[in-house]
Amino acid sequence: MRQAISLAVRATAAIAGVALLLGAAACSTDKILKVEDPDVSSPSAVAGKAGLPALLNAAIGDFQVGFSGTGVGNEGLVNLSGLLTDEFAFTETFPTRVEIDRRDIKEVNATLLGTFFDAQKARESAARASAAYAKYDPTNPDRAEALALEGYAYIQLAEAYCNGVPISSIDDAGGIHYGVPMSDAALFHLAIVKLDSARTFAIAAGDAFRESLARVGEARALVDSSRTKLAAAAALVASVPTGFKYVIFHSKNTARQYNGLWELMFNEGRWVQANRQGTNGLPFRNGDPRTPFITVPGGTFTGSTFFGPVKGSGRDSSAVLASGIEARLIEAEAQLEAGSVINFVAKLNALRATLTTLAPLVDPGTPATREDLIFSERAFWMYATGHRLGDLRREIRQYGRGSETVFPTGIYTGRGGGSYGSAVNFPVPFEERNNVGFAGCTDRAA
Amino acid sequence: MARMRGQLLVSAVLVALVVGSAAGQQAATGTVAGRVTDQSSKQPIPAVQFVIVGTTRGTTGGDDGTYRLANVVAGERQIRVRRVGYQEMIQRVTIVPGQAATLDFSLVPTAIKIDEVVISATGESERKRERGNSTATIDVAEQVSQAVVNTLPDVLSSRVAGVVVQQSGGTTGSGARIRIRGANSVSLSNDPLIIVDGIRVNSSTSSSSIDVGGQAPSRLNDLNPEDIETIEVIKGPAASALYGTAAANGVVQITTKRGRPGTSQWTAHTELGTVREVTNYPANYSAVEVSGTDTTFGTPNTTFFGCTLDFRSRGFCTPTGLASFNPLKQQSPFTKGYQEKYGLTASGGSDAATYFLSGEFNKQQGVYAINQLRALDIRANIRGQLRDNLDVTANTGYIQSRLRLPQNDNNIRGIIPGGLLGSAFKDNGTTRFNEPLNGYGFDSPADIMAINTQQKIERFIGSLTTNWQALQWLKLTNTSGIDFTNRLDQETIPALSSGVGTSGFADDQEGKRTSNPFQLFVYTLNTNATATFDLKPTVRSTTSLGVQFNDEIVRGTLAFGQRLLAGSSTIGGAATLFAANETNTENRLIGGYAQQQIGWRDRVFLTGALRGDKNSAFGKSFTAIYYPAASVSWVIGDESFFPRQRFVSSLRVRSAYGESGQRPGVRDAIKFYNPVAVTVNNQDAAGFTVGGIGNIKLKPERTSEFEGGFDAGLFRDRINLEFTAYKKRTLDALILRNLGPSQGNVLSRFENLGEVSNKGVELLVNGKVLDRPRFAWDVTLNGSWNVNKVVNLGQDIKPIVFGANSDQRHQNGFPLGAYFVRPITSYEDKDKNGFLSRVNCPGQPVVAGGPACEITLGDSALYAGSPFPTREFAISSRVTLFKRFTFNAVVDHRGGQKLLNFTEYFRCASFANCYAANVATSPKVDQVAYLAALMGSDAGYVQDASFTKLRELSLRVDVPEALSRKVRVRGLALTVAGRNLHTWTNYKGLDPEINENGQSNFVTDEFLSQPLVRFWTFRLDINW
Repeated sequence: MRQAISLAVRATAAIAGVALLLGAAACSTDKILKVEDPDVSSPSAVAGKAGLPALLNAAIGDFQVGFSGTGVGNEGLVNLSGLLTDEFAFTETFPTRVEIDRRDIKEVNATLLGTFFDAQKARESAARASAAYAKYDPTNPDRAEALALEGYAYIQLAEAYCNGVPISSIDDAGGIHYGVPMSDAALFHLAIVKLDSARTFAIAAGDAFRESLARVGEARALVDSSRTKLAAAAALVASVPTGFKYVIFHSKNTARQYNGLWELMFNEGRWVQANRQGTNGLPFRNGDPRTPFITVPGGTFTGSTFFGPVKGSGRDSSAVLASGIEARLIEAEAQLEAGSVINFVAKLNALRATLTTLAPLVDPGTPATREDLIFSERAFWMYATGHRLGDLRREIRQYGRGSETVFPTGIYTGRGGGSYGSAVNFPVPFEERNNVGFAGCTDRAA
Repeated sequence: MARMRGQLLVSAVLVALVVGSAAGQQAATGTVAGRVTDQSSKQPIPAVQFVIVGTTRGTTGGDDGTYRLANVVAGERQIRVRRVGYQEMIQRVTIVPGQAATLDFSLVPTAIKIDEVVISATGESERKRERGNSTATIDVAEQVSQAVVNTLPDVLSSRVAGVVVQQSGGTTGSGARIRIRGANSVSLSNDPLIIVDGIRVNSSTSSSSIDVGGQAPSRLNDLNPEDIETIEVIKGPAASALYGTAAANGVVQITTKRGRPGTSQWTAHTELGTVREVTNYPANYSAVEVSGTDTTFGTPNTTFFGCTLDFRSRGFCTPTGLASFNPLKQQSPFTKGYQEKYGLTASGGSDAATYFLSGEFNKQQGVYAINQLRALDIRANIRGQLRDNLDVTANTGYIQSRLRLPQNDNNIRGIIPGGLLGSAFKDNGTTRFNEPLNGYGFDSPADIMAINTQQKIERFIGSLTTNWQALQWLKLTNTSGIDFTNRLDQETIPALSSGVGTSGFADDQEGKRTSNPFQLFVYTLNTNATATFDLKPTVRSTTSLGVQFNDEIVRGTLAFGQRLLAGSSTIGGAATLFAANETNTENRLIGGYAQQQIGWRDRVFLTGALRGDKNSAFGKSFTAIYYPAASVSWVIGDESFFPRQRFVSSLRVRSAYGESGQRPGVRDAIKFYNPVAVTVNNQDAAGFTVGGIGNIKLKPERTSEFEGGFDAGLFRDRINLEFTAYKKRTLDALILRNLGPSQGNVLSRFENLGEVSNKGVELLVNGKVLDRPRFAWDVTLNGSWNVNKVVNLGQDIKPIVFGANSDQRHQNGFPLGAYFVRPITSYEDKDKNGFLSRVNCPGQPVVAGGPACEITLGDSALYAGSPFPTREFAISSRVTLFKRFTFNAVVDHRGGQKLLNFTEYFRCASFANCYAANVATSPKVDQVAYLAALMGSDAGYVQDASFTKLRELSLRVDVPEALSRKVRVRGLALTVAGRNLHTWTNYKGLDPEINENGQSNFVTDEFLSQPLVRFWTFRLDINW
């Protein structure tokens, strides 16, 4: 009898014990499985009007990364486009970057992927911000800046990449909406639309600074689109003060905020300010006050002499996105296009006069040399600001120059040797082929 | 969060209380004692396991074969004895109250292992014969005293068929990549689950927040092999289904040492050894054309031009001399390393309680003076038999380690990078901080070694297991525990102003300090109930039900400061660029399972099981996952109809099917923004950037496995043969899917899309070739073949390209991480000038009057091989002479894998300092590799990395007992052992085993890593 009771007690206790545990587990597994995640922010936290400043900040931050680079992550387009053109020369070992300096760029290239993604992220982030302003506070003058950044993001993509760049998006539910390949002309058109809207909102808000930003950008896209639009572009920027400057700020605060020129050149010595690179390159180390540089013997990654542009010599050196100087250069080119050589030279000399050490120019005498002059002046004034690649492509596309007369060419003397390739732009990276509507660049023409 | 964890712990305590209150009263008792001997040799058998059938009571016999079980409830009892290498035996004994019964056992030796006891997923012990799958057991206690075994990966290496341990380098303190039956997952970890004494532990194989180029410490290295009794390797989902989500890559189940009843046994060991650099590093070369006044090459010269074969063929130069210098040999940065171990254990106890206490101090210096590891390990395992039907075991281990790592691999500040990418001249005029670099490329070794990168570990692993035989037929087991790691990653780069060496890279000379404390928690709570009934005299039913809870938490703070005050090495001494960040993640899993086993005549075992899991990382629209398992085992050799014959003396056939899974990462299912600082109007402001776009449908990937095989005893069970074939499929494989970057949010996201397959066979043969009183020879051969393939990455997903020079891919129809390169289709020295040229080839320099194109490449990249071995064999041979001298050797072969020799690629194609790039008489196959690299193909550097290594060699001498007693000890043994003693390979690089990416999931290439080093140790074991 006693044994039976003991058995019953044990059985009951055992079952109760298991039941307790199973009960604790089963009563609310959702509660048990709920974990805190303090490191990240949910999209709902920045939804609504109160979240608009954070969205604009996000757009500015992402634009900085895609444009002038960072201390962590990928190269900005200022960095990579300068490497592809005659602005920078390669002094390190990374195979993916030497392809770019040598103008022999494969579609499968991890460096290329990062930069293309960051350029698209800059566009998407600005689009997210401008859409949020449109939804929650449409008259806020900040909306103009978000729209302008979106427009500039289109310009960067069109100036740097082949024909056939898709523009895609992701909806709130995570659905991906892939775009079809677009020509550079179509991207310039999108840029114009965005910048035109930005200008409208800036004017409505009485924000002259952002209005100038939009005007310079829209004019740049017009110039990129066609020589026939130079006059319209010049008219657009006529009201922009020469002293106007919209800069992408950098900071010593976090590595993400560092200037990419400083990181890659001054900090790591990976490439240097070039000088007459590949036969056609301009003499960027000829002492011109617009392209000052710093020399450090043995200062590159591989121990050769380092030449670094002063404008990128600090972690927190800012990078110019748009300026009154660019406005004047557009006007000068419009004058040249209109056949007014005197005004063309005068416009250039007026700019040069702002620097005491620059001698005035004289008319070089022939259409070809005048074209050389405007592109040379643009190259020196806007050195390392992401304009040069677009200009070299314009020389080919709009002025009928051969690619091997404007891009670095001939024997390649950087790492691995060989010869310069024929690239005049960046291909869309291989990973874009995960977009079913994309099968590679439509063409690699300028 | 803490509340939930608390609820579960309270539940566990309640179970314990219920257990305590419900334990029955003591009945009248007696004692049983006796001795166990070998039936053949009549010698006593040490460390035999005794269990009173139907209770949790048991004991372990002494080294002299004796045992004693007191307070055994009176009546007729069955005593079961088990010992590896012998057949199990059960005998009946009648216990009379207050009296002592004698019960001796005479065990039959056997090489077959089907009666070995293993720990099941439910926490219960079971014999291998009851399992339908192959489980490997390593007797670690035996291994460590006979080989240079410093880490858990060392223990696993070459000892289990189907387990491939790839050392990523020879750096002291670095980890290894472990794969069991191939890689299952495209994008998730392929590391096995590690369980220590019943609880999950942190098994991160790359566990550091500071990068030293490629090698990284592994948390597996914290586990001291000296503490381990056995390791069971559960190889795949066919066996691991009940372990739930996380066990798809197999399970390594570790049981630490336990005490045995009896007088206190003390053991001590000390190990002293050397660590040697044995690599034959290549020299740097430079063919030069000189002219003018420089007299380096005799004729006065003024210009000095590096004249590679490529420049020569393009007409740029004609070499007038060949310079060569080998910084790593002629200005060697290496030192003779050493290792020291001092350990002490005490164990013993009574029937009521046993204990095992151990402590070990371990000090090791690698082949760099700064590469040091100092570790202290303390363990206390205590088992108490609270009642006849109730026992509690507490296992606790504390580990403290201090590791300092060198810089190497893909690292401009590395020592080997500096040497192999350096100059062909000792004095190349290059200096850092006014000091000549003596042929090194970037920094001097002294400056590099001034960088102080350390990892400090304090780790506690503790578990409490309660076994309660509540009823004759019902047993409850509860295991709960915690693995807590306090990890401190720190790095100081001294300031140049402090007057000591510092790195010359970038702004390093300003001085930098990084200090990242991490706290890593893994909680486990397992509860299991097992009911056993004899449905009929010949049919036994075993039913198990259980629940499991796991919580993995990471809390980390990352802090940085720059521009250090001379002499300071803390962030407090920094002047600028302060940065701080946090990382906090948590993952919780709750699962339940049921298992039913039917045993018929102790010969046929049918098992069916189902496990269900929920996890905090699953997508919102996914609730739970269920893993089924089934197995059958038939000990056909026990059947009466089985022909008794000499050749096949016993046989078991088995088959198993099971599924297991892997959870996604903690944030893979959610959409989230990462907070970042941005600069707005020259002010720092709060912003964010998209971190993840989420996937609400995300669920674990599911791996199913079918395996079948047999265990056979040959020649009267002197030879054990185990054969297993398996087929694994991973469905809903979580692919970190590359997205078209044009969407501008994230580059990739996890989706359940893919399918991966692994097929293979495994073979184990072991036994006594000769067994004479004065001469015994045991041989073990284990081997496996594996075919790994990506069946499908998912619709519309392009190959995932990655790795050095984008030479690796996940692509349908090929092994995971396969190498793809443009092939070299032909080469010929057409102009007969003695060397090859790329001039006048398509897309290459055009040289008028030069040779016609001498090298042709394929147009597109083609499959060039797998980075993982497709076959591996290890043969170990042990010869014992006069029962005193034991020679042991392990030869390890791995084959079928390729390795990208990125070191030579870089030396030739980028730095032009390799032999092939400079010397016209170098082998054409090396010249074409170099020139093809310049043309855009790495085909010449994806090289066969098959190898055979003399992995271990040792001699152990057991000092005669009479002699031992003279120095007042019971046993004394001396062992001399070596590791990594010789390599046979056709691989042309530094070492076919190493990987610049440490324990990376797939990225595999040899790039300026420290090759494996050679160990020789002298060990002394004493027990008394």
